[in-house]
Amino acid sequence: MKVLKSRSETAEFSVVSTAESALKKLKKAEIAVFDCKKRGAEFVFKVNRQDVEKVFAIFGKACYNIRTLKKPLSERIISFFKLRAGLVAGVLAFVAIAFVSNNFVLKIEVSGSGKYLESEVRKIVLDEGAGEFKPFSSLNVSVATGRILALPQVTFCNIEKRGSVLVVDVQTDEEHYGAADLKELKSDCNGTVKNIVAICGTAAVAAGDSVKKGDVLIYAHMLAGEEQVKCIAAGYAEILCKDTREYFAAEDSEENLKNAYASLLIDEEDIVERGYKIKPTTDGIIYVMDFTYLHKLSINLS
Amino acid sequence: MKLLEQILGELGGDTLKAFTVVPDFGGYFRAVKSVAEYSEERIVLLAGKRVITLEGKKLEVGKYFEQDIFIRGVIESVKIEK
Repeated sequence: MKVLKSRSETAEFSVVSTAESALKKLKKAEIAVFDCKKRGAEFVFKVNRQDVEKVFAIFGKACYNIRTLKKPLSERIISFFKLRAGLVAGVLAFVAIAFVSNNFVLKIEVSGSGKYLESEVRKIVLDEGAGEFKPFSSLNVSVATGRILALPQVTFCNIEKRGSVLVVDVQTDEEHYGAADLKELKSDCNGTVKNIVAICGTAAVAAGDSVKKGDVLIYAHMLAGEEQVKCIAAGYAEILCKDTREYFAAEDSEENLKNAYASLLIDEEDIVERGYKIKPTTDGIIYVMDFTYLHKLSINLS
Repeated sequence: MKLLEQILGELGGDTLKAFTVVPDFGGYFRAVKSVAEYSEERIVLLAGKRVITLEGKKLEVGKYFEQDIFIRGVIESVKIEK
């Protein structure tokens, strides 16, 4: 007694022939045949996979009509992949490349009405971890968005990845669009820098530096790597300035001194230090006031 | 099966010519030279000089290899002729 082989290793045939004749031929060729059925004029049977060629040889004559009804699923899958190994490898390689490249940023684009801020925006996203041939996940999107929104006139910012392109959509206030001052921030007095903040551009001085009237405080350019690129200057500076003013009064009194200080036209809170001397004249007195005040300058800050 | 072989052996029967029929399932036949007739109701087997005629319902060849054949279906009668 022969043990039946697994059905998954069989092929099913249909031939236009009598069952008796077909079975006789199959037996003569020593082909194990099973699951035989008559289906109209057709005789349907199964054989082991290794006997398939024999079956074709037996029923190869013109008077027979042979067709393979179906092969086992596993066999068909293996056969498919064997015959198309190159195609499968290519598809797998393509999928792998697409998957990898889709996770990486190959290009950074700045769009929207705030495109004129491209150099600043680009620097921010680079600072926050983005970069060409770097994975998108390395970008700290929330921080970058916050920094971009802090740029002058920026009202909207959206950072997203479209394919392999990192697109930064920046919208600016239409009313202020194009109104940005492209000049540098310069000092309009002599003094000492107390504080300097450059949101865009490059700070030219540091806290503690002495500056003269006309000195640049914030340059309208920035460094992108080793390259210097133009941009708008945005930021502010606080400078401690010293000055001396005179105020004429009929006599020395508390009210006249108060008026003398008021004539400086500087907020009390901005005056850091002050003092006065009285210089007598023929008609009254002159208050000679020496004072130090905090002078604030800004550019492109709304 | 051993008992059957023992009985046949002691009585001098040829086990190669034995066959087994299981009601409502099918039958296993040996020494089959060829299938002379094949239909769902009737299958005729040539076993040497004998002609074995099976009648029943939904008969079909479950397996046929060399001289062993398994008939699947409801075998209602087996007739052996010389």
